[in-house]
Amino acid sequence: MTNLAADGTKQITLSKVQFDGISAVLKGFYKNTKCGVVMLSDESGLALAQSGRLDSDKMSLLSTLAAGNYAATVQMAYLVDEESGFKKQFHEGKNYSIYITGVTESFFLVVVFSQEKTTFGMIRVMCEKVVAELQAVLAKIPSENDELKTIQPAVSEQIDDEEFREELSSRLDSILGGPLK
Amino acid sequence: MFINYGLNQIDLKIVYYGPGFSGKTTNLEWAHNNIDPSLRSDILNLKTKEDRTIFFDFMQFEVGKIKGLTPKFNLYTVPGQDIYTVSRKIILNGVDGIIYVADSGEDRMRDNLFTLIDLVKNLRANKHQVEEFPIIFQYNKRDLPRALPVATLRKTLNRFNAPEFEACAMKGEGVFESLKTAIELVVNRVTKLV
Repeated sequence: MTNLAADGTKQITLSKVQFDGISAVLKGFYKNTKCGVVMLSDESGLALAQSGRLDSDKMSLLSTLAAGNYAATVQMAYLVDEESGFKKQFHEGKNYSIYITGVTESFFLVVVFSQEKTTFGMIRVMCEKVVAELQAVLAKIPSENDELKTIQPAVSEQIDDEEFREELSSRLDSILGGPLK
Repeated sequence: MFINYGLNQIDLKIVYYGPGFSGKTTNLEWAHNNIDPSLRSDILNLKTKEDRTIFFDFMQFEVGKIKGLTPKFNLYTVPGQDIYTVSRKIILNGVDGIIYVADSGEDRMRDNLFTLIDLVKNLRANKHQVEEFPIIFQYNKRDLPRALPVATLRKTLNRFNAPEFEACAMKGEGVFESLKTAIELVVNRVTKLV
C-alpha cells in the first residue's frame, strides 16, 4: 500500500476493503476503551483513518503534530544510539493524555483519552492487541475483487479528464481569488 | 500522496521552501486569511518566541468534491534557518510539490542559492528526479528598493525552467497565483504516477 514511484514520490493507497477494515478496528478500540480519539497516521502527517469525537479539521492538525513529534523522537533515538527507536510515547495531562505507538515502520497510532473515563493501563494493553490487528489488515494485498469494490474509475483516470481539470481550475479561481492575469 | 478508495479522496502535500525570512509563513498566512474558512483548517504555527518558524507551519484546504473525487491539499512551510536541516528533511517526507520562495533582496542571493542546493540535495536523497519534480519559483519581496532584477534571480535559481512568479506576499501579490500553479502541476503529475 506504500509505494515509491520511479521519481521518488511516495504513494499510499488504501483500497476500500483496507479502509473499511482499519475503520472497523479503530471503531472497536474506541468503543472498548472509551477513549476520546483513536487515529492511524503516517509519518508524513496524513490521518489515514480515525474514530472518535473530534472534527476532521482538528484530526488533520493532530495527525500533523503527532507526525512531527514522532519524527523528532526518531531523530532523538538516532542521536543517543537507540537503534530500535522510541516506538511508544506518552504525554500525560491533567484532564487528557495522549499515547502514541508505532504500528509499522511508516504508520503509528494516536490515542487521546481522559483519565476519568479510562486508564493508561487499559489503553496500553488494548493498543498491543489493536496494533497486531492493524498490521494484519495493512499486510493484506488488495485482490482484484477488492479493487472492484472501490469506487470506479481509478483516481488517475478521474484526474486525467478534461472536465475534472477545468472544474478544479475554476474552483481554485473562485477560492483563491479569480482567474490568473 | 495518499489515495483513499474508501472515501474516494486524494491528499496532496505541497511544501513552501526557501531561506529564512523569505516569506514562506507570510504566504501561508495570507492564504489562510483569504480562503473561505469553511474550506480550510486552522493554521498551525510552531514558532520560537522570536516569531521564527521552529518546525513547520501547516494548513489544509479543499475544493469540494469534483466528479466524485475529493482532492485535499496539505500545505507546509519549512524552517529556513540553517540549523534546522533535519526538520526540513522530515517535512519533505511524502512531498508532492514545492513552492520555492526566494528573497529578492540583493544581499540574500547567497542564502537563496544555499537553500536551493539544500533542497536539491534533500530531494535527491529521497530519489526524486529534481528536473521533473513539480516545483515553482516565487521571487518574493519585489517591492524592496534594492530588489534584484528577475532576470538575475532566474539565471541563478531557476535552472529547471520551472514556472515562476513575482510576489509581494505581505500584500498578497503573487500568493494565489503561485499556489494555484503549484496545485495544477501536482495534480497533472498524479496521472503519470498512479
